[in-house]
Amino acid sequence: MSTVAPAVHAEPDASERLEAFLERVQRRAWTMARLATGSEDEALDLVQDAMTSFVRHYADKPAAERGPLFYRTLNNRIVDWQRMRSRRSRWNLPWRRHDDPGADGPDLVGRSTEPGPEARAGDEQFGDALERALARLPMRQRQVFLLRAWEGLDVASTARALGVSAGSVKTHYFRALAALREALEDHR
Amino acid sequence: MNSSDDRLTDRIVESLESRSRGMDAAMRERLDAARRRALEARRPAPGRRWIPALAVAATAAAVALAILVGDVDRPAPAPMSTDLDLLTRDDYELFVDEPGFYAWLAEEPDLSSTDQPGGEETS
Repeated sequence: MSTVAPAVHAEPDASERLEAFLERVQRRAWTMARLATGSEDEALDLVQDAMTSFVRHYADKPAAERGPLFYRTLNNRIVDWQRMRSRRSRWNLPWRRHDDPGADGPDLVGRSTEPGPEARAGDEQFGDALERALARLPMRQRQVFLLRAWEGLDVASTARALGVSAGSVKTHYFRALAALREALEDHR
Repeated sequence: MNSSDDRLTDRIVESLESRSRGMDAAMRERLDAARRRALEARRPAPGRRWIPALAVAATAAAVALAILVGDVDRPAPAPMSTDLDLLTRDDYELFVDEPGFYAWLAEEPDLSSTDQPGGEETS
């Protein structure tokens, strides 16, 4: 992993209040859901559902277990959403598909394609390319990469969050990093 | 993982964090509202706070009432001392050895019928 101090805190303080925990993870959770759904509103609904379910079922769990449990809850919501969407798209008639705003895949970066000031142009372009690359990753690879690299969960916690083995986490992370490396080659 | 991958990972995290923090204010407010609604699910509504206590009290009252009513309706058991007194009486053997007792017992329809298996009365 990175030798630079991470910008996130993987291990919350044991006394961290539930509300503080949710406040800390909500932005990242929403970004993960948005990358999976391609929709800000759908992402918000999924995060809301995940937070409500988490509070109902796991509010009294120790602080150290909250991260994996919350992301597991969110991941289940995302998987359910994708299954529902898959079933729905199966019944979509061919001549109606062009009406579906999400039919061509997530449009995550269309709103910020204009380059800003020169100092920020590189970062903007990198960010846009990154979102496109993340959106193209298979869901499991994307979730593993975001939980490991961004949320800072260790291999075991990531495995618990996604309901997979530790070996699977390592494999998905390796493949995700390779795909991102290739996709972002021109922006490094 | 080599240092090149480390640098790439750092830049990715930096970019994600930067964009996430730069989320527009409206969406941030909606997320905050979603969090508050989720936390409401943990707190029972004001009117519902007494429901568990009332349920316990009602259950306890029902159990107490059932015990009291059950005691009133239940027939009092025959005092054990009566049988013990009979068995320990000095003249108890007289009943056993007295042939007239069995003759009397056979003539008593109510008593003799209950001695038969099944206890059914015969006319």
